[in-house]
Amino acid sequence: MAKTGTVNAPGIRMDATKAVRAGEKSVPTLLLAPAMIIMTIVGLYPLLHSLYISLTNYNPTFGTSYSVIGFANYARAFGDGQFWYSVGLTLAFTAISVALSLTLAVLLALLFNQYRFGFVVLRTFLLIPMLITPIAVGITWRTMMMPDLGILNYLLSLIGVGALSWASSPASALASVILVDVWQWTPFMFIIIFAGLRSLPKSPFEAAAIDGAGHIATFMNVTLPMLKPVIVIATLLRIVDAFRTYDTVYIITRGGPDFATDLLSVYLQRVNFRIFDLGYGSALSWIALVIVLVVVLVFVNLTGFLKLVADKENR
Amino acid sequence: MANSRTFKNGASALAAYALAITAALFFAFPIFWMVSSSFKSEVDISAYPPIWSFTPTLANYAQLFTELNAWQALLNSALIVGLSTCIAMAAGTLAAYALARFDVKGKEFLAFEILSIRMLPPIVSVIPMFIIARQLGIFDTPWLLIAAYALSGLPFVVWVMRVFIQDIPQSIEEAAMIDGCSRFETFWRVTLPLLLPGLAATMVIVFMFAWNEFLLASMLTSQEAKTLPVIAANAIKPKAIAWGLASAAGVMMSLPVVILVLLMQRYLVRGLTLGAVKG
Amino acid sequence: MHGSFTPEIKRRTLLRMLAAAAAATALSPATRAWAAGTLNILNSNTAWAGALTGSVAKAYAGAQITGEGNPYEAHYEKLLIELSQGSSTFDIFTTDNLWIRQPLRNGWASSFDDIRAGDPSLPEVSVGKLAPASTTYTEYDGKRWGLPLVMTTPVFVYRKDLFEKAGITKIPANWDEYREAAEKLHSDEVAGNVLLLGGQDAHMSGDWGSRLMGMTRIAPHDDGVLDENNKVVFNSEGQGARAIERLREVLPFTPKGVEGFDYAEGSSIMQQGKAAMMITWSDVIVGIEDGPFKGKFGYTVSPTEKFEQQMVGGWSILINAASENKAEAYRFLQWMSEGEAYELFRKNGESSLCLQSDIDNPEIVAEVPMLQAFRDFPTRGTTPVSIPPYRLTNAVEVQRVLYENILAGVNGRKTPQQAMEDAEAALASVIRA
Repeated sequence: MAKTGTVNAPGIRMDATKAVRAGEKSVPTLLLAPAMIIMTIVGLYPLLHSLYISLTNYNPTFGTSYSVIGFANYARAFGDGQFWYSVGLTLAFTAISVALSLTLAVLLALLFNQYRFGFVVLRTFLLIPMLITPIAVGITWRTMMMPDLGILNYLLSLIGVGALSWASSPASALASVILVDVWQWTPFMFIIIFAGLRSLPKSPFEAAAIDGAGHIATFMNVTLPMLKPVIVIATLLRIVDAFRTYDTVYIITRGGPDFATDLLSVYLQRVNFRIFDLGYGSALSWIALVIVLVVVLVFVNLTGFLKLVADKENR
Repeated sequence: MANSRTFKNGASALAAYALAITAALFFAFPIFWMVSSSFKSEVDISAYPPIWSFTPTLANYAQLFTELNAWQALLNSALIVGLSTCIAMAAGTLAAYALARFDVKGKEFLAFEILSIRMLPPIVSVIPMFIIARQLGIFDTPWLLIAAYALSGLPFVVWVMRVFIQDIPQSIEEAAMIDGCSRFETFWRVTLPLLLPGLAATMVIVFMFAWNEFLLASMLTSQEAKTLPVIAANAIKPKAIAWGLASAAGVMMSLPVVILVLLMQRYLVRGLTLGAVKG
Repeated sequence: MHGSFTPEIKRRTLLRMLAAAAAATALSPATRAWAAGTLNILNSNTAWAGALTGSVAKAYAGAQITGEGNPYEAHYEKLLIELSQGSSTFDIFTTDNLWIRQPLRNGWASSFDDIRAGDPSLPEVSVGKLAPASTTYTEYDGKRWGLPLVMTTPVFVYRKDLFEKAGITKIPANWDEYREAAEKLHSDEVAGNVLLLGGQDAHMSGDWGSRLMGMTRIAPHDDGVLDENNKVVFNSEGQGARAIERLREVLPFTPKGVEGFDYAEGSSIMQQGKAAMMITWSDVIVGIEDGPFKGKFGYTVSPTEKFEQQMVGGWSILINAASENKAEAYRFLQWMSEGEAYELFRKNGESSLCLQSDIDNPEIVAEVPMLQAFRDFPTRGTTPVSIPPYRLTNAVEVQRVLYENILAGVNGRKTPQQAMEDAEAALASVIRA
């Protein structure tokens, strides 16, 4: 098969495109219809239902009767110190974890972009963590990080390093769950960035080499700008997912010790599904949605994401 | 001069191998530990110092299949995740095509609306879904989870496929349409074949997310439609964890996806490659 | 990167996969109505739970018994969601006694008396073969609502060999002796004792509750935290704060990482010989005899302060009010009460037994050494107390509030007295009569 994907499109005539589009007014609607139908049938009712519940004091623990209390749950949320603490913690968790796995993924992509014997095999190992079910990831790391019985402290003792307390001390618990998150999701970032790197055209690099640019200068001035759209999309998807991280963290620490890893998702799960304060829990979930949305919009603005998309479309 | 260059090359090769092997070890070790734990007896698992050589036992796997009914769960998972992935791929790719190729009013808003499916904490939809499912009589059937996973896969498909489609030059499609192909024929004969590697890559990732989903699977199934993550979670006993059983469940759950990905690794990298911006 | 990749073939494969998946879905049973004569149980995933749908189901001829095993937290979530929505998926449900008042007070369960009133041909259920302390949870509003499955209590587990080595001849019976022993036994290799600061139930009930129970005289219908009228009493004489101090004084003699410990870690540490003493629920310690220190563990009722009182908890089995097979469910439970089912629990490896003849039988105690704790109840004159705060429908929420404040007191963020006052203040809005 020819390398069709890299065929360039010299001189698209915009007027011709629009002419073709003129007779197809209903086509985009038809194309969007299946997705919209799924979103409406499966997605919309639960959303409306939870929006309604967030205006009530529904808590099935006390039976099925409840009353509408307006925006009281939202008002209550603003005075909920634990909620805002967990929001802050989640922002820190997401920022550190995504930044670390992005950096690591870029470095690994550069490393594995070299054609060396055996690298394809080694690369394979880098893919597996993201495929393991989060429950199993959590249980495996929880056993590995046990301070007295875990393999990690044993390995450290072999090289003469004293035992760490990992996830079982408030001081190091957040770092430990970030480590697990980075371990699990760097592969996701890596594969996307690595693929992006492999597809870059050769000519700008040759030009840089002729200009005598060093490795770092080439990376900063040539590689990074060309990789930007890929990096931005991978990061965006990762931010959205990091915000919801639940299974692994809950299994490793249950939000503890002493609230050190009480992430938003853990707190929301507790309010909604342990205490079953569903009215309040739904309100918190909607506030959480707004927070993620703000984070995403800030990110999109900072990276000029919309312009990147528009530029691609109008090529 | 020549000597110093050879030395420099040798040193950088050595450094590259050292780094690559370290990275591979870092990512592979916990997997190795999980796999070896799954073949250990409960006593060997918590032994300290940790033991490297032990008499492997299949007891954990036997328990998985006899006690926890893992076969049924495996079939359910394959069916539910397979079908929902197909639906998400089909609906998502069409929507992505519309967003990439047409002037849809407010399309960025639409794109973010789709992405926001992924932003809302999943717990809020559990109870409404439970209520609907019972009213429609589809509680504990595959249909409910198929619909839910199709929905949650949608954002990823739309966002990633949109980039892939944008990367296919419009001129190719236009050429086909000038030759008399309809829009549909153009898509089917010209665009889709070019998209296949990208579709494959996206599909693997959407499949993986649905395959590992736990919360909805746990709450919206009972006996008939239980999936593998629910079985795996059952190894967490009320007041203790059956470490060996949990590891075995983890290995068994991960195996199908790992095999799928390893088989498709070439297409995965290649597919995502097509999604990248060309200079 | 140039594979032998033919898009045409790939596309056809894709279509074929779609068709195959669709066909498979169409063939699978979409719904399955439960045939009459089948009883479906909302089950746990413990030893007794395995027996319930295994050997017990086999032994019962009256109906087919099926069940869905759940991990602890999913079990509670399912119980609440299923029952509150009036679902009839399950005819019978099992519940931790901590949650039991929720279905009872919300009308989600049917009492034996009411079922029998509707069908006088049903035989009467007698709980005479079961340990009396285990049967109280299923009595409510003057009626019997179900049966106990297992009976549990906080057990004091200690290493007999280490006691001997340290020259401790008297098994600690009060918390002063316990503290001295912990200090004496503590070394870099083996911790003096284990606390479980990382688990809500483990720390609130196992650690703090076991200490609280002996501090004050608990009235017959109180649970140590709440009195009969759901008024908080856990710090009425400062006993809640004193229990926190009792935890603080042995905190220096715990293993590394104790702040993250839940039941699982505690049992593993004991099993591997890394700690000498632990107070924990009897159903948690099953696995420790499977390790290298088998036979070296002693078991007894936990130490006390002034009064010989200790919690007795466990699990119970009840009938769903929305079930369509209530009479058959009743017949099954009536059969259970005759005792064979409880023997099968034991044969399946359960150790927290509630059949009185098991507790009284020395041969069985030799087989299940943990049972010694229950035999020590009469010798020590221990009065059983119900697990707090089981009487509330939102016991889990109240336990959470208590846990958060106890923890703050134990790790020094608050003074013990302050922690207890904060807990009382927070509970004022959480406890609904």
